[in-house]
Amino acid sequence: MGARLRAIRAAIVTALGLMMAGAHAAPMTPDPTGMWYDPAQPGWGMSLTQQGETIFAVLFVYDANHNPQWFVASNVVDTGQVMNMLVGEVYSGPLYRTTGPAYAVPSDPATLSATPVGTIQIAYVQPTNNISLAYSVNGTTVTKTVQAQTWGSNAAQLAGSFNGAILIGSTMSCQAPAPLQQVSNFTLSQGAAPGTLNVTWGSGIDVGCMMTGTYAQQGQFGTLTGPVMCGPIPNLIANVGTLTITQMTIAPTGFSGYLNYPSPMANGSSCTVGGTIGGVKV
Amino acid sequence: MSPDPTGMWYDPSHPGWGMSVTQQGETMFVALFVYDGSHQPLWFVASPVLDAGRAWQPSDGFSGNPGELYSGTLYQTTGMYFGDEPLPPAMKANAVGMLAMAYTADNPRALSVRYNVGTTAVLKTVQAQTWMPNLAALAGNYTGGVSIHPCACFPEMCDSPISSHTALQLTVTAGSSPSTVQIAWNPGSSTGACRYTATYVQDGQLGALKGSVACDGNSTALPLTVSNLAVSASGFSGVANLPGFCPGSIGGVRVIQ
Repeated sequence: MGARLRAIRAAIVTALGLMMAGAHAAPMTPDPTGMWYDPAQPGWGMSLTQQGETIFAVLFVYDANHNPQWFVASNVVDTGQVMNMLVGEVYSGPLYRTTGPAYAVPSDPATLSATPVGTIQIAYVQPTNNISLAYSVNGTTVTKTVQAQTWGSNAAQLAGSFNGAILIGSTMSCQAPAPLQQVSNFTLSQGAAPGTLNVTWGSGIDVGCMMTGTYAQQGQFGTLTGPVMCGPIPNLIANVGTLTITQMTIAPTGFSGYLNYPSPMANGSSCTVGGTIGGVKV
Repeated sequence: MSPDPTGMWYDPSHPGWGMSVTQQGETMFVALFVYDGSHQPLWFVASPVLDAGRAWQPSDGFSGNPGELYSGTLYQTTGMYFGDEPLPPAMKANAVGMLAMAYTADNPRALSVRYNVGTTAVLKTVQAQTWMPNLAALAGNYTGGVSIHPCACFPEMCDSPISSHTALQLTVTAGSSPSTVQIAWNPGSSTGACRYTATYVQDGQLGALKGSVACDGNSTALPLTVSNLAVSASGFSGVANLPGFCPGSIGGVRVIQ
């Protein structure tokens, strides 16, 4: 009996608790933490939670009698392999079906068990932010494309003054305009139109810029896209281009994200310079 | 809900089940993955879970728990077999009860959770499930700030000795032991370069730092803790707590070479 209990406990630990580092230790990027679903098949979902290089995945699905059932994979790690040209780095781990004490009764370790039923694989579909999901349960293989579930907006947390920077890269052949380079100390405020935010900063003595961005939530991340107008304060009339900020991580104390700027070139085409933006709230 | 409860939660005294919480704006999505009376896996979902506009009261379950209450209707759903089927039924959501939760008074990172399925009520205290630190993602160079000042003072008039009202360059490096980290910056005032040496602890999706900060020209090291530390690939930020000052902030955006 003692050996059986130890074996069950070991399985539970493997399934629900302690993690082993994978052979290829790289976190999934962007961080997939959040809820994921298939808009074509509403009703089921997948929870992904990443810490370090390990993802904890829970599948909320239905059994053959259409009743709710869940599977768990607690050690989903980087395989170091890319699926194909369109689907990126694959993260994989064993999938378990567990049993345990009923929710309404005290804990009963004797009822705990974790049975491996297959594997789960996830990978970002390029160039989207969707995830390709493949899992198997006792020989039944399921493949889906899921997208981040979005129901709210973190935009309200963005308002405030920040110590930080707009750090935009430049090369000899692809330059961001001077007002966008090495900006610190900026302010984010509600824009005049619903769903818009203004990012304002000074770019010289009595000279400033303002980005009027449209905010969109996508899962746990935000994006902000809009034109940047610069000039002598308060006449910000020169449009220096459009900034796009992606993968915005927003907390009460600050935010950060990636940006890109399509820069016009002398030959009439454009190039794109990238960088980061963010700061800590004052 | 603050701190952001997004992540996995569990009851160490009742292993095997869990709760997934995901917050966007002011709305949470909560999934309980538990077991039925036959010990088979079963899940419920509560969406939306919102601020109830009142604190947790003794009648909600635990006593002495003043945390703000968040609540929502709990549903049990039925739907299409995961293995697909020719004529899948439409998903149905049946309201079975309510779910309420609040941070506990004695542990700001533990949640009191009460839910009922019909007449069966369940009361638990859960903690954030933690399996790996985000410490490795923290190392790098940042442009950001350290903003700490007395409670009754406008920031630009009276920064703390270690902070600045203008942007700072911060460098985060690994410490002398695997769980320690050093953050260096220069406030640019009468105080010279500051070095914060701290121990990193992961708590669910957030981190925490506890250590001391020493600045050139000041022989006294100051105790500094950082809580609710959110670490991402592009930056970090957290609440900075310096004794004698109001809670402030520390963090920045990553400088990518």
